[in-house]
Amino acid sequence: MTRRQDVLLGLLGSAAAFGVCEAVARAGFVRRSYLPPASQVLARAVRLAGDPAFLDGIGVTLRAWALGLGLACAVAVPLGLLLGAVPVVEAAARAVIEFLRPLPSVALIPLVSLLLGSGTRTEVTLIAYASLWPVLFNTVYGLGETDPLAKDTLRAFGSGRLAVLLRVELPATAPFIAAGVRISAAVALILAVATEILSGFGQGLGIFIAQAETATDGTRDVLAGVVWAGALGLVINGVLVRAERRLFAWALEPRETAGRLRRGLRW
Amino acid sequence: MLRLDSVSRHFGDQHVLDGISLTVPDGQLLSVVGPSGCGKSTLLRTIAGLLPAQEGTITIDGTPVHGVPERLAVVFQEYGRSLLPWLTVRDNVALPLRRRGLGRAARRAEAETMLERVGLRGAARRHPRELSGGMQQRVALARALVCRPSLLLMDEPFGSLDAGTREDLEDLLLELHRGRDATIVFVTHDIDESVYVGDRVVVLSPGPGSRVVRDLSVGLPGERDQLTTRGLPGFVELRTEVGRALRGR
Repeated sequence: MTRRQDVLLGLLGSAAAFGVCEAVARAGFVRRSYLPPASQVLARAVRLAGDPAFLDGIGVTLRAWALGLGLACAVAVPLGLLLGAVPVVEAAARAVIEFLRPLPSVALIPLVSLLLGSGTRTEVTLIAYASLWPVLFNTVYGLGETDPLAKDTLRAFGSGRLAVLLRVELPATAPFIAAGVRISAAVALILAVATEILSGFGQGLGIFIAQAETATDGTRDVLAGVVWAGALGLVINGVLVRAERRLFAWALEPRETAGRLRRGLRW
Repeated sequence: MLRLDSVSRHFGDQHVLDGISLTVPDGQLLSVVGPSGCGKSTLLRTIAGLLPAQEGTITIDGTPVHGVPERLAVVFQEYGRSLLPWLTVRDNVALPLRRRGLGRAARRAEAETMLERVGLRGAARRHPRELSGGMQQRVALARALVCRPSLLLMDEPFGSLDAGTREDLEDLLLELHRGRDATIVFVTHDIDESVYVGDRVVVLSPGPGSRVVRDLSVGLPGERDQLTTRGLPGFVELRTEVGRALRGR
């Protein structure tokens, strides 16, 4: 499929979804104040772009998102390298990781709020915790996928264990890490907004949504906030996909090992 | 001088190498031929220190070697996997120069000189995947020779190339080897190739438990030519003898 067709179909799908939402609301199955038509929600969302207070909130949310995601990467990549490179550590940590991983991060919001208060610290901690996993697992997985022949080649040229890790395994794993970061970026956004909604005061996109809920006829504002959250996710994903294609063009070639990776990067 | 003294290796209870003893003088190009699965690659990896020898000793100039020998270089058959795809051709070639403690500019300059010698002057800034198989294997050859190794191990290096490219690379190898004192162990399953490039051909028995069954000196003139050398009676005799040894006759 060409890129043009891709874009065209994407637009078509979006228009169809918009049309359905609009039609359901206008058909009057539900009360207008519960489910305003898509056009009104969209118009409100666009108007919000001119509201400095709202934009400040977006800035606060994005700052927490970036901090949390950055922190997660700073922990997950070295930890993943350690786990992937030293089987003993991996075996020792496996049970702990498998215990922690399925815990729903959203369920930790009250606990962490209790410990750290309801400010940025809580938000960043939760984002970092939730977005740690995709980066961590992709790092470990990518290390395992590194071509043993490339490692042998470097060893034969006199490189030590650490040099092989830094010059072969880390670069070879980078596309996997990047894919993990992209998945984490979405997780981080969910956690940022969810934490704000549940903690309920301060500033941010989630706060906007939480406060709109309590207003009369607030559904339109809630949905407009949701549209913003979705749009942010879309833009972030698009930027990251482009960055991956640029940085890891060498991994996109149809080589025997790259097939799976290519699909991974695509979506 | 590279010396193997009853080197044996097994994986589990499967014997792969069964007491291989060999002495390779400095500067010799030794071809190692054997049926597929006989443990040629295992032998090469053991010499390279990538696999530990379980029995026997390997010495270089009288000193026992544990692990990867100094001034070693390798060329594998799978150039596509052993070249690093994220580095340019030049940086791939410059890679082994790190251990000589050269600066980046000096490394690049040496890499470019070496690339010129393998006929890839214009490809320095390209990436391996942009090159054909034969060109990629030239890059691997340049990378192996750039650090002036005293021991070069080649594991069926031209095995996945088409006939013409393969002949070009055999000649390139001989040309680059001329006048250098590097010892080369050249593993192949191709009888003609073993005789054409080799100063000496060693034939391994089929596995499991491979041994040296034949050790032949190649008495052909040093200057070799794909057409005339292969037509020499000496060449034909040798290849028949190697073939016979391979078939256990």
